[in-house]
Amino acid sequence: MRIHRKKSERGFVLITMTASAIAVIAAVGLAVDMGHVYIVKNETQTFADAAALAGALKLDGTSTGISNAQSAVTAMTSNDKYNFATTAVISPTVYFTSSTAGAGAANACSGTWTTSPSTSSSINCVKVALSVTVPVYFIPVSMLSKSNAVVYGMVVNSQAVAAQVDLATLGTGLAPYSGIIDSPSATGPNFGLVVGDEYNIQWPAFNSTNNGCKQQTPDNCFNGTNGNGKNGTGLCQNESNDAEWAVVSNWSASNSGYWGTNSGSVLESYVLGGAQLQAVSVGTNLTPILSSGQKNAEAIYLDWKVNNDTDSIDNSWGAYNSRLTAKTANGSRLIDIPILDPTDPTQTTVSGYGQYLLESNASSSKGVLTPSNLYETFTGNQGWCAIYVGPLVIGGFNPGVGGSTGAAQVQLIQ
Amino acid sequence: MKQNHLKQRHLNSRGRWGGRSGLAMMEFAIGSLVLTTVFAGTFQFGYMFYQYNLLEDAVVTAAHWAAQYTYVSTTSTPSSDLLTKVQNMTVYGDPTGTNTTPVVPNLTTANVNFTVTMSGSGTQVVPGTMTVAIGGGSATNFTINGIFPNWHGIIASFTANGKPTATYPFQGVFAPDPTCSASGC
Repeated sequence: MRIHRKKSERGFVLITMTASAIAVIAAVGLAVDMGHVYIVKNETQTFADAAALAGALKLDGTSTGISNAQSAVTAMTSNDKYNFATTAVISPTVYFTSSTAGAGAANACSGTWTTSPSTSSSINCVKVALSVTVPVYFIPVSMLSKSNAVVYGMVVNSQAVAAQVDLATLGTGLAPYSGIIDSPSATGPNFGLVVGDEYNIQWPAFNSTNNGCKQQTPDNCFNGTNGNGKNGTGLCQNESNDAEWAVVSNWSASNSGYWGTNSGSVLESYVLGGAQLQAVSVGTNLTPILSSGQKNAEAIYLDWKVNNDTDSIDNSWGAYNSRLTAKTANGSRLIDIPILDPTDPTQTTVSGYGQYLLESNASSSKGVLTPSNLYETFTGNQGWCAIYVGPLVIGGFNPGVGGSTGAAQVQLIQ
Repeated sequence: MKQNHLKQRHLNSRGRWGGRSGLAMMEFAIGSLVLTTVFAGTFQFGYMFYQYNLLEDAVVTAAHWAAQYTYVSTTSTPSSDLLTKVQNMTVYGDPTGTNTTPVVPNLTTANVNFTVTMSGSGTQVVPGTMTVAIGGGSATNFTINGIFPNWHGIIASFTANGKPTATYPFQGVFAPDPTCSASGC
């Protein structure tokens, strides 16, 4: 009787010990393994967020932009690692989609996600998705998977969506120059301007009493001083008659499209730093702050931007853009400015925004680079030209996709 | 019968306390030592992982914030204004430093390592990525302490040498000031 009871007690201890050991190891697993898994989740989510933002910044409405976005995501794998910042994420999946034109953050990325979009023009969203397996050491003792297999690793999924979201107001970052819409009815994202064409960002002196100055031949209204434009008029190659006539008939002769400060001591922060006299919104009337500016003092800063670029020589957008992709240009020559519609002498409405490539006269001979001083060579009465490259995205040293306003910033959507 | 047996507590023939109470005490002593160690260790690890996660959140927030802030330096050395704000953002979750409670006990701004990578070459550069890390580089390494003190070499702390870290692509306004040098403007 007594021996029998002893036997049963021994078995009971074994069972309780086993049960409690499993429970204890499960508790340890909960703290150690799950703690590790949560850290990995946090780290991979950081990678997904940062990589999606980096990808979205590169989208510019072309297929090159799509492949640049994919490269940017891949490049982030060497920055944001997981497993206590030791292991790089391998082959994250990158999806693309579009939003309704002019979409705000709320209804962004409403399209179907695809890894290889057939059209690239409206793609403004990037989704980065990844899955990593975290090894676990205590959990296998106490847990089986759905298929009754022992769990040796936990799968951690992370994904993030970033998009270029339209901006209607810019409080900082715009250079104090402006473009003019190509025709009175032109709308965003390009306002009738052609990517790669040359337009005025500041206008030469004009006089509406000049010989032959009329709506059909507005070239004659400009004073014929030598600028870097067509026919020695300081007008840029691709300005339309509509744009020229809008300037001549609506602006006072002292207006040139410049809207920053005239004070030499702070010019630098306006020209280089995008310190704006005021926040500029679509629909803002800029006429009250248009001024003649101080071209001689401003010029050195535009030339500085050109010379700060690793490609300070190419003057065609195609050549420059391919060097941007190859990372042999760094985007320093690109400036963001408003695009205006001068409707009458009292109203110059902001239609939207655009990005322009500053021109250069730099040259390289036998490995020696002669820096550009193009803008410094012009006098106050001459026009300044730049090459229109597309809508802008804040912080992207490249053009953006562009919605209705021609300006966007990247945001995380999820 | 069983109850009687358990209650038995008497001197045996060799004059020692008999029965199972001594064994139970031994079991309890050994068992509780093991259990206490296991649970203390578990708590220790859990707490350190929790702190690591808090630090990860702090560097992510700070790096994302830095990436959107206007960058005025023309080199990879950020302006002292930006550096201070990023350090405050990491430690206090607030760029101005008005809030003075660190996200993790004993974390200071000296533990924050802020690195900017520029794109371009030589002196022709624009901001590329912003990285915030705890320790590493010129920053003081930070020791994540467990809740229990170090006892006979049993793990009670983990020194963060450049970890956790977070990198974000620059997405702000580049407002270069060529008159600024590394030492300031």
